Amino acid sequence: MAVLHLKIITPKRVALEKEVEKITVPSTSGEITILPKHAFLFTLLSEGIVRYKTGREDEYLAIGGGYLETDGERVELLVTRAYGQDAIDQAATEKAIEHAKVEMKTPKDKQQLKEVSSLLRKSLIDMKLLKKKAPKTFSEH
Amino acid sequence: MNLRQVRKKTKSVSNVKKITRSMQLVSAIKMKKSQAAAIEAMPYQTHLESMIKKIISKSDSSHSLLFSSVKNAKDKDLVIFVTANKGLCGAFNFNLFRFVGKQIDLDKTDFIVMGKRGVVFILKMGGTILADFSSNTPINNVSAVFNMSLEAFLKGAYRSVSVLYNKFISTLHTEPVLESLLPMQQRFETKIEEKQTGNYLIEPSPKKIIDTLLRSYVEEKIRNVLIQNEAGEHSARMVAMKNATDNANDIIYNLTLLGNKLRQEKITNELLDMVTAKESVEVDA
Repeated sequence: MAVLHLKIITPKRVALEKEVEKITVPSTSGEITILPKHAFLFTLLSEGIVRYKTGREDEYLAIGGGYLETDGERVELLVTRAYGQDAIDQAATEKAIEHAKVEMKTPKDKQQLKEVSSLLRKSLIDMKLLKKKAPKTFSEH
Repeated sequence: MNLRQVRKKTKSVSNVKKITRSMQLVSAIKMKKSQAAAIEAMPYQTHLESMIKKIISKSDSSHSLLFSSVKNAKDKDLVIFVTANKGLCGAFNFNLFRFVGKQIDLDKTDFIVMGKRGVVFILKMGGTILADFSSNTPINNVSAVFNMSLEAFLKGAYRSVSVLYNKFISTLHTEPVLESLLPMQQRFETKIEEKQTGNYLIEPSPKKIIDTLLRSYVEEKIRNVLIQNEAGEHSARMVAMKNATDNANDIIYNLTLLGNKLRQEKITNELLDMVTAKESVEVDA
């Protein structure tokens, strides 16, 4: 069966390199899924969750904005950040969301509002990622 | 020098040696880390570059404002000057300073400085500092630096924006280079070759993508420069401290030799005194 060679690259490192069957990404104009032999495509990505399938399992990664390039065999994602569920601290994220919501109501200036809203967006994505699938350590017991 | 002075000197040199030795070890670890970071950051840079080349070959370069200077731009250049925050790293900073002295016309150039050594130098030379972004974690300031220089460039306050830094070549070798960031024309013009890339679908449209792509390329370039600067700095410091430790060892060796000689001389003199004294007493008796 045909596979896609997926590579997720952040400015800090190569976050993931794997053979996958399909991958779903949030592009700026909506969510798209890429299967093997996809047409040559270049697109902008927005913040969100990447889902990719290897074997039976679906796996998830949160990404920052970036670019995607594919030629039907390779898929390359250049994103500002990429991390899995294990990198998220649920309690801290929940706290951050509440904190951000309070701050949003009484922002000091535009700059702060921008920072807080981007933080809130990121935290909400993190929470969404956590809800996708319980981390393996919990589901096994 | 008498024996006591020699001993004192030996002691102080060996204290200096302890310091330089530990600085060498610390730098060695930091160097390994920052070199690894420099290597891991490479793929992003190269991929971004190849994407830009592909997109540019598919579209018209007039889509982005970043390709040429603003009309009626002032006859001035902006240089982002990246140096170390600390000294004690051999010729690392001075190579850059020499470069500035030789190649840059201070009257027609403004600086954005990242690194405390650079600030001191530019002020001494009487250059104009637009902004000082020195900090211990300069990576966090990249977007601020980028936004500031982009804004100034688009307003037409400067004809070009470039970055001056120490390019990391190997542990023993760094080289001061001046790389132009904006406008971008000269960077890609020569490199574009019509490769068989097939027909790319570009979404939403080349027009929209190219600008963001170029912006993030420039920003990423600045980030990469900082990473290289750090790798170079730690390497240079490690080498400098190794040399210092070796020198201290030499000095200690020579001083110990001198000290031994002096001690021996003293003992010989004392013996001579005793013998003479004894003989004179015996003669009297």
